[in-house]
Amino acid sequence: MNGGGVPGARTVAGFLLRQTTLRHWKSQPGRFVLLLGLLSLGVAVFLSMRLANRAAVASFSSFAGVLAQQSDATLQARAGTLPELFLGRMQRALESSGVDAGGSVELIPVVETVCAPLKGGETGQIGSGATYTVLGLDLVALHGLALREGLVGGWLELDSRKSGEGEESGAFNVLKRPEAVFCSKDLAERLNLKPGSRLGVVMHDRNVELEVAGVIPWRSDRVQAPENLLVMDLPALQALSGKPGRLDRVECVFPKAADGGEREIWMERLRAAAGGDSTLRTPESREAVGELMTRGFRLNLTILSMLALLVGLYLIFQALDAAVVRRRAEIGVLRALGVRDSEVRLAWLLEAALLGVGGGIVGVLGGWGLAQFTVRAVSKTVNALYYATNTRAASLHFGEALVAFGLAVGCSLLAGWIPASRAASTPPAQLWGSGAAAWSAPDDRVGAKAGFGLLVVALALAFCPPLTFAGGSRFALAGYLSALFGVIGAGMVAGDFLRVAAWMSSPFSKNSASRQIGNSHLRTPTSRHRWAAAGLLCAVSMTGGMAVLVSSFEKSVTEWIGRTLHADLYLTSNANQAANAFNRISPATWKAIVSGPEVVDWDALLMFPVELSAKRSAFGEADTLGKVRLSGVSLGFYQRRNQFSWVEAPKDGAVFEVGQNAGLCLVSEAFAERFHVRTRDSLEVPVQGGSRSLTIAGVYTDYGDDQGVVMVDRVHLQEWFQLEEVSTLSLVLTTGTDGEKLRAELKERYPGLAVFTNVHLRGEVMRIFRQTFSITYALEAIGVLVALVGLGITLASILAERQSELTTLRALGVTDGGIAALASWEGFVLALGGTLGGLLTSLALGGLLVYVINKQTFGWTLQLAIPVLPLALFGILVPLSGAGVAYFVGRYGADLPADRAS
Amino acid sequence: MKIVLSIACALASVFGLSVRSEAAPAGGAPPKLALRTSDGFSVPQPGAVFQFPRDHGAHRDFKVEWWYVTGHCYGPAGERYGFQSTFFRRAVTPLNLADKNRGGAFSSDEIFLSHAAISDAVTGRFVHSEDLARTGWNAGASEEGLSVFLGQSRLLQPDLNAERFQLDAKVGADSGFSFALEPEKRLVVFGENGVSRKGNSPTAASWYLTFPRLKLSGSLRVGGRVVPVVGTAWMDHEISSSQLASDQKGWDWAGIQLDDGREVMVYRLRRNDGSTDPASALSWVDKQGKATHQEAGLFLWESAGKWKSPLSGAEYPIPVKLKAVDPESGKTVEWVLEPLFKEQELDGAVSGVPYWEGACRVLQDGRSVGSAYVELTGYAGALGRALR
Repeated sequence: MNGGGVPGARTVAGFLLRQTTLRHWKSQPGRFVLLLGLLSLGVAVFLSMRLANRAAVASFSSFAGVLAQQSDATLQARAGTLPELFLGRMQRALESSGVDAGGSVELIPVVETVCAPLKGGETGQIGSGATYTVLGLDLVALHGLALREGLVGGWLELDSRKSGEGEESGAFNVLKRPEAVFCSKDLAERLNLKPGSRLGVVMHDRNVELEVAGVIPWRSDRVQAPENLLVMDLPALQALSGKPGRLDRVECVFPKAADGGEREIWMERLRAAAGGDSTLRTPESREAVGELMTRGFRLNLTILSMLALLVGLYLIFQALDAAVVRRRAEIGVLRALGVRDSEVRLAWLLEAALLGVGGGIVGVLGGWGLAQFTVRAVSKTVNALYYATNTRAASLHFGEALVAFGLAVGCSLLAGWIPASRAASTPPAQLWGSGAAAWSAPDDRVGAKAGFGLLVVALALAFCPPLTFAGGSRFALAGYLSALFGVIGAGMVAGDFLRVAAWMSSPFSKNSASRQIGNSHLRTPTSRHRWAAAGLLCAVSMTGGMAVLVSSFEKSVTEWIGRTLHADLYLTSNANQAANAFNRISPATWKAIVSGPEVVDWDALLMFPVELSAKRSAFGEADTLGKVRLSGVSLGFYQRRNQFSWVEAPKDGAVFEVGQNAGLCLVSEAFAERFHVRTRDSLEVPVQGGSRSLTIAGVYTDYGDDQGVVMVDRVHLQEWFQLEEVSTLSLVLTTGTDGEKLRAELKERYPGLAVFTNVHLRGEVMRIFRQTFSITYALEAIGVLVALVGLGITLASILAERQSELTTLRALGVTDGGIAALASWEGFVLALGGTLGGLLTSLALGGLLVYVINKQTFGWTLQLAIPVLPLALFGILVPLSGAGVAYFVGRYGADLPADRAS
Repeated sequence: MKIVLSIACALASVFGLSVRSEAAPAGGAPPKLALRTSDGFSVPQPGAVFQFPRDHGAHRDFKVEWWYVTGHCYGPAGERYGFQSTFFRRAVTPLNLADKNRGGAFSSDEIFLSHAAISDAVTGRFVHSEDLARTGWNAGASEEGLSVFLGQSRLLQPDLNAERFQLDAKVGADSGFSFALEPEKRLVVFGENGVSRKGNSPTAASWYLTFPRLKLSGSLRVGGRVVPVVGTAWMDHEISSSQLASDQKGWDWAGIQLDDGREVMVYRLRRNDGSTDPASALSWVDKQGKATHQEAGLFLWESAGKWKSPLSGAEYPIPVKLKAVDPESGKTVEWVLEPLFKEQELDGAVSGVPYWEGACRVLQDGRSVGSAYVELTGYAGALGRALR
């Protein structure tokens, strides 16, 4: 049998593949297509989320490379902006250190702001409007760079028309016009912008009319400028954005010949020259900041996007297992003819791999297509919570596509392994025996025990701390593993839930033979039943768990805004459509508003992103900097209006008194969690041109920020940053003032401001909150859909295996409708079992998400809230859907000729 | 003369300069500068009395100004190098029209352009670079004395009480030079009554101040190799607002340092029809530094060969044959200005004006009688592309 004349395993496996697998697929293309479709759907969903995440994060990176030369490093103030004098200082320091090194570092100063297109009418939704990222760059220097780099067009030649009688025209006109702006080719085409066209934007609290001077120069082999990018001459943007004499950052370009070692030397020189008030980052680490900020959010999406794939894994497993059962006689014949175990196993694994390859290819293509839609949803959330991104398209990334493809093949092979082993190891005599029950018996107990074991491991993992990365970022690895093991473990004990479901449904089966037959199958469930229930349990538990998290979130946020939003009107710049848009209200405007006769009390918020020193990471990396928000409010106003929800309340009232709180601060819970600090700890907080030592007086709840907030009295913050502008304004109106009327008046008087009433703002907060979870709902729905289709496939294969039983039933006079009813009942009870198990698991999963994963990822304490009604509805709808799917499968199975059983 | 003429010419055509004669506004430019360009810049007038060190510095009432240093230097083993470093200042807004936001780190009032080049006669390697910056943190010029810089290149008078200069220039990524310059001869003011005319137009004129011979010492870096050098330099400072007429196509210029201790500065303005513009001139500087000016008809500039640039495609008339009447002997002398090597073209990557500017030997009857720097412009297409 194993003689030298026998062809090798691969040859035989190929023969078997052609004669069995492909023959079966040809005879039942629908089954094959459905399976392939489900696998590719799982892969597509996963890939689309990965691509969308990548696109949204990529938009955080610097634009300098698009415009001139790829920046090698970025210098930024730890707080606020850099003075222009910084450039001269850097230049001199670099000259004195770099004369002998050959070459020099090119310094490219940058001012950056986010503004919004000018739109009239009502205050719309926060974060839903388009934004432009405006870069202020020295166009003269850039012109030289562009010419040297061979870009199409320079910056100063584009404006060659006459701008007025007696006025010069030509290259330098653009420098003389403070409103001149260059836009991307795409924006120019979309809005039909030409040199001289007007482009209205909102910057700070003003409507500004810019004049298009030309299109951003480009080169065909370079990354094109993003559509939402505008470029202005640096001093013009300094004046417009209220940053006279200040810079947001300085991009540094090293000599082209600089290799790795020399780059390190240049980095050291830059660091030494820049001093301690600024941070130096490479593009990679700058991108990493964007990744760091959104890591929790993106991980959640990635993990959820794997739901469909996980459910698909169950599905492929049971589909291949069912195929082994269906073809057992055929396998028996082959084994009897001398085909070796390894050849049989290889043939089955090849079938699984083929399925994976097909699903992978279709999934990758589908995922790329799907990403074009999901990227907008992801961008919207990133925009509202983290930073400005108007990403509208996601490109196919080879690495991501490879991972998705590998996942498809890997999952298929993993799912095919046990059926392949079973086909290879079962003796031919047993293969010729009838019934699938014999196949299910051996792993029933073992599977349940393993399942319970996994549940115990999951419980233990739930108490493990998170991994900590540089910058204070944390990853709830143990929490996620706990969730995974919990869901898989619960799936493995799903057979027990089926018994419970059969027991629960038995009172309703007394008067129906078909129901009793259906119940009888589930009292001793086959592996097929168990895996179908496990798939459903997986989908239901993850969906239910997320529902618990969302409900808990909603409850906590609702209570939080109920406590914190007490003013009647809120004002901010219309351009603040993204979380990193720091447009402000000018002193003249806000002082005029708060001095109105309708205003009885008011507060203003001023905030800055700052870099803090972080604790040493768990992996022993060097100290790094973490980005947090430094906010200034009237702490007295906050106390008067009872706007704090405390995690650790201040011991006394000093922090609320301007005269006593110069050295005190409050920190958000996320900050305290991220940097492991508590009340009475001290912080060194960077401010404009230096730092301040502050003592933490209290820790408060803040669901508006997961990076952490340090809050001080605005009076001090304005002094430290020498700034009178404010970011937002909240007004408490005199009794009897019509808030809506005043809002309309203010809108008319200050068209650059967004004015919200209390009700509107609360609504917006909740809308943004729900929008954050909108993608998760879609991902869950896909997971449940896959599970339900899986249920249908399972029942179809079960009915196919039971042809003799169906023949007997038909002989006894049971009609096709009766068989369909039998299948429907069996499907209902099967779905009920999966759903019950899923709902129970979802409660545990919800607790895990709320108390462990959320807390470790975002640092927020949430109040657990069970969404009883939605879960109950879900618990009813899923079994009913199961019954519906099973009914149609029953109709199909009833007509199935006996020869299809093989 | 210098390449700035080409830039000025191009700017003139782009900006459509014209002349208007009017009294200077009260509190604006010096009263004696009555003639202004249509966009309000002063025009150099005869009879100016220069005051130093102030007049070595920037003249912000004028539109165009440049500082130009060329020279010939030698390493320890006698290896020969030529070098050029030029700083151009171009005002965008006249002083008296400037707005209140004038100045700062990113001023839009002035643009600076620098050209630098090294000619390595041993290897025949020519390295050059151009930089562009607005006045502010990365470029500027003092009005108090000579201190002009762009990026890491600078020309300055470290001590305003001592007429010595320091030149540092970066040439590309791995080359540059750092020289101490000390005049060996007093400053010369070229032109009739202090004004160097460049055409018929009343504005086509400049103040043209030159140190025709300076002692040079310092170091030069070519391709990362640092070489100590000594040699002789030539330094121009020219101030103008508009110079060229529309019928002028380009010009040829040379600064010649003869071994007998005398110098010659010559420029030939070429018209579109190929003829020599009457405003062309040649000046002799004797050993004492006294200048003698000769008009266009008293000298002859001829081509003694051709060289076609593989980069720009321009065909340059090099070597050059120059005939002039020696004021000391009254005889006509004939020199051949032969380049150390021909590939000394600056590609105009930033300015948009390719031109030839290189170190030459001065040959008389086949023997070397001095060194020269020669500039040939307007051979690579229209000058109107000055700033692309």
